[in-house]
Amino acid sequence: MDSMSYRFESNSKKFTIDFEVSGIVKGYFPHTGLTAREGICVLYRRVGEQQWFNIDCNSSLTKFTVMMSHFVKKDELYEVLIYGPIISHLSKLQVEVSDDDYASIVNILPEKTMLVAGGSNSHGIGCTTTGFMFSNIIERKFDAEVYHTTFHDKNYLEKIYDYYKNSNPPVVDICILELDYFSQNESVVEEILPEVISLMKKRCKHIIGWYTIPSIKSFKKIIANNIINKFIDNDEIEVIDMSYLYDENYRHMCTFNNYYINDAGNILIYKEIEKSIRRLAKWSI
Amino acid sequence: MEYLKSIDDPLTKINENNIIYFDLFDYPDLVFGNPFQTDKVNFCKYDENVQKEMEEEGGFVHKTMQQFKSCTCGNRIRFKTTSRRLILKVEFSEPYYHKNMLLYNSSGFDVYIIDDDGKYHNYSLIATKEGIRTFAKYIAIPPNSSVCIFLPNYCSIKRMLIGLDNGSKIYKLKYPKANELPILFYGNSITQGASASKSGNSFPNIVSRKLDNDIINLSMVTCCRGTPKTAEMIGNIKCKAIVIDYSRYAPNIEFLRNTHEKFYRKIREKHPDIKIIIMTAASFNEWKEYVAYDEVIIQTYENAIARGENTLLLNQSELFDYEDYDLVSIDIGHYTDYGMYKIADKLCELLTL
Repeated sequence: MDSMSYRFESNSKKFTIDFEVSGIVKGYFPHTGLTAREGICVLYRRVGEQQWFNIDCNSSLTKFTVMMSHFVKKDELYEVLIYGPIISHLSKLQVEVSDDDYASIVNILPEKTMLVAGGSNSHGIGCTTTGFMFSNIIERKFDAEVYHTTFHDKNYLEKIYDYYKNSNPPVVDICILELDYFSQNESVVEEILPEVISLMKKRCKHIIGWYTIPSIKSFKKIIANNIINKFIDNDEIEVIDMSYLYDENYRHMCTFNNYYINDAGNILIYKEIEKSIRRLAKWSI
Repeated sequence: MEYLKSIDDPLTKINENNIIYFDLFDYPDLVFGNPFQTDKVNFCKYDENVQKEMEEEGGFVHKTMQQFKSCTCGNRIRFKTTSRRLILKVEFSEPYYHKNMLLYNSSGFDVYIIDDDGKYHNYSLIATKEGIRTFAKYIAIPPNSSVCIFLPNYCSIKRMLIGLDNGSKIYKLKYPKANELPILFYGNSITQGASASKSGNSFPNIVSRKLDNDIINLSMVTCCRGTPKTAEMIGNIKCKAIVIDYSRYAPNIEFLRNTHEKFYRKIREKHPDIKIIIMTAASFNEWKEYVAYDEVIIQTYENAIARGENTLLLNQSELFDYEDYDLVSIDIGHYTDYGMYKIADKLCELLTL
């Protein structure tokens, strides 16, 4: 999955979005929103301002109109951000404004680049809309180009390894790697995780690793730390332990069960990673 | 989980040997949050007068009342049992799913075990696939468990059977004496629970867990319009405190001006002393109209204070940092759990002042 966001700016008091998705993965997803799976999510901000606001999301494959006059003054310039779905493919995305109004595609300048690699949590499983994936929050808050190498697959680490070994991953400032591997085969992880970190390090300046492992699986945390300790000692990776999301004070708000986190969990992961990004890259929001 | 054609079908995947079922609808003592319980469970939270009032509004309002009047938002099944096995067999009136809501919320059963200190521990979360009307689910529970099940926020249950080990016992699980009188919530789709990630995470349900207090949640999408018959109905329900979250379904500012304070005062007439918390509009995307809505709501509050009434204000927009506005709700105001918990924490603080 590559970058999944699309931006344009306009001064139109309304615009219409026409989109189609294909390759919808059917299955049991009581923990993931319909629009996250097969729809889009729309936000806006005023040009020159930093703060984004959610407008709405949609999953029906029909045109829908957004009345921007509810939010902005007449002729005020605004920017719109559209996120695509996570387990289907956005095959068509058209935006229409009146002929009398201005609209232009916005490309993010590649001044800040990141790559998010990981499993189901990084892929957005557990989110109501894709706007709440921690990677997409990072993308819009930092105005960064964020690439996704994420898989809804418990053996995601092997796939990340394959990607780094056999493809041509982008060179980025920061890689954010999910280390939350408790559903994966330990011996595979012991072999592959060091390889992934080494390969990744060749394609980025900083690696931020994170995991959130429930206490009943805390032995996995020990194994993870044993594997990555030498990388930590050599300052090759910074690791954030988010296991408190499964503690009594947070689990009701942030998780569904011992496997999946929700929007609130993603928000807290963003807030932790954001601090590391700012410190490592000296970027501000 | 096993999907069924009929709730009375024998189970083929789940072992129901030596399980005895009882019909939940015959045991209203086990179901909390319904103001009009009789000798049968009655999930409809609106009296005939309110239903008629909504019928007179016509169109979408009437249709919505028909669809959601018996929806189980804010309802809980509470019991203590010696059984170690629990089978829930459920038939929905109509399966419901929505683009902005997870199935764990709209049609989810959020199961908690309550410890001896009254603390709730989430234990199991149940939801079907989209479009499924009837299902059975087995849950293994520790012996002598105190169980609280938060019911779906946007579905109605037509029938529900609870299966327990043959010979086991089941008892009503009351709230602590001081917390039996319910806190009443009146609001909109947000207060009904959209878009929490699961049914137990609507802010009224979080408040009920945090305070271990009974609640009645009279909130409903579209139908929250501050009408006289609704105020009269609320005035007649015995309760500990009332939370009014009326704003977004007033169709325009004039409508809100004409109804908000009247609605509050009609309730206050019948409940002269209890705490009433008035909430401003949940608005996190700078929708211009809601600024004026908040002015009307704040005026109602200030007038109440001037009269010396036991009334508090919860300003929803001011509760959150501006930089978090894109994290609080998925659209204008439908809270994520991050937002739901913050609102619930503030309400608990105000309710226990």
